[in-house]
Amino acid sequence: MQDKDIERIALFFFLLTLDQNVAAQLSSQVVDILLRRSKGQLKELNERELVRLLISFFLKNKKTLQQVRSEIMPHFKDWSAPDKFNINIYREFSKRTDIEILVPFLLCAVLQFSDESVSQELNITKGTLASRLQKAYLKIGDLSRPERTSLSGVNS
Amino acid sequence: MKWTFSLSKFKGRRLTQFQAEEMVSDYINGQLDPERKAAFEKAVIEFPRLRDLIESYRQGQVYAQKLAMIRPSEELKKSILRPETVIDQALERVNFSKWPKSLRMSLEILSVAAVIATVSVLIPWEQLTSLKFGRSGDIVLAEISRQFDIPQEQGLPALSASPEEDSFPDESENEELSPTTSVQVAATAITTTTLVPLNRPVQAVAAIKPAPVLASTTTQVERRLGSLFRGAIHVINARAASQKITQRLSELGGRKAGEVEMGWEREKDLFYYHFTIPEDKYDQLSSLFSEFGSLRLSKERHERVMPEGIIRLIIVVEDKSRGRQ
Repeated sequence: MQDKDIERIALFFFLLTLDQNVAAQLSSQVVDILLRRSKGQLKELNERELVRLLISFFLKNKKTLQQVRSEIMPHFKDWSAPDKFNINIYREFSKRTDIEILVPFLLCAVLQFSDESVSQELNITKGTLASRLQKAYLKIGDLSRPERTSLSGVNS
Repeated sequence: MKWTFSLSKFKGRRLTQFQAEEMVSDYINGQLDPERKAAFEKAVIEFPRLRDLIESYRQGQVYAQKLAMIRPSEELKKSILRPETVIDQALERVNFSKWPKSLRMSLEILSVAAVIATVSVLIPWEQLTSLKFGRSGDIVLAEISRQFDIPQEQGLPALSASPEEDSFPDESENEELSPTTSVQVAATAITTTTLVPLNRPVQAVAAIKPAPVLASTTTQVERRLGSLFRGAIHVINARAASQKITQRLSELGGRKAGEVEMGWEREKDLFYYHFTIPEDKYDQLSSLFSEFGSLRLSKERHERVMPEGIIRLIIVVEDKSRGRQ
């Protein structure tokens, strides 16, 4: 497991929950499992293995995650974001988007896992995945368009 | 997604807005074949909303790239990597996982053995083995919630039995004083009975007051007292009468209450009855004895509590000839 993998795990849970404490807990559990599997060695991870683990954790904690998402209020102090980044756009997107669309979006569009791995682990076809991704892109793009957005909090 | 198969029918056909909208991502990602791309571009001119969607999609891609650039702080990464328990942290500090396997195994076995040894030392085995889990060695004759409120300063109950009736040591007294056959409900009487010699007259028992320390213990225990009927009857030919009395008592439901059978010949021509009988048979009992003579009964309070509806009696049947001797 590399540094990049830890960042991916943490980012997945952070963007899924927008609560850095919950995200840290879940990430810690995933990392713990991975370390146990690799007997404490930080070796390179198989992408499929990581996607499978993230999805299984998501499914296992789906109910809790949905409850957390319903009270989204991002705590962002332990995270660094690019300049002029507005987290409120994502917050709004996350509130309005079904979790079945949000998870593929995070895995493919943000964490850059391959469509093949994600569709197989989510047990959906590539066409379904593409459709969900398009919906997500259009929705978040629509929210982030400068002439449309009224969301403040740039670079929060 | 790349469209690899040929769609000859598609050539020259117009795309609907719905079809075109579904192709936005493929168009932006360059996954449409030239024919579809041309048709899509025609549709964009025809349906202005498509331009809007293309712009939104691109903005979405840009925003997704920004999301991908969010990074956790080093501190947060460390906290995620940090083992959860103190033991794990300690093991990590000493690089336990890198120790030789045999050494690790030995240490683990030793730790388990130490835990087992500690637990086995700490467990109060003597107390556990003394627990009989309901198989008490005591004989419980009765457990009853009935209780008499005796004022504390009253001490032992006043005894109404005449001296001659209790001038002999009866077997019930012995039984009650014997520690091996102690009755559960009689536990409250220990402070007084242990101080009394076995053959001491009952009146003397009443006169003896328990030691202060013991008395305080007695008052802490809930006092539950029962009653005992004592009596004596002088009959002609006690032996014959005794046989009849024993038989009739059995018919009335009388059962021995002590160690000896009903009608035990305590001394020559002196028969001893220590028994229990249903309370509602009291009248029949009186009439039974009245057939043989005059029975004098007195009721006294006693530590042994009988179940509801059951009375306990000690009756001595004595031959009249004994009195003349």
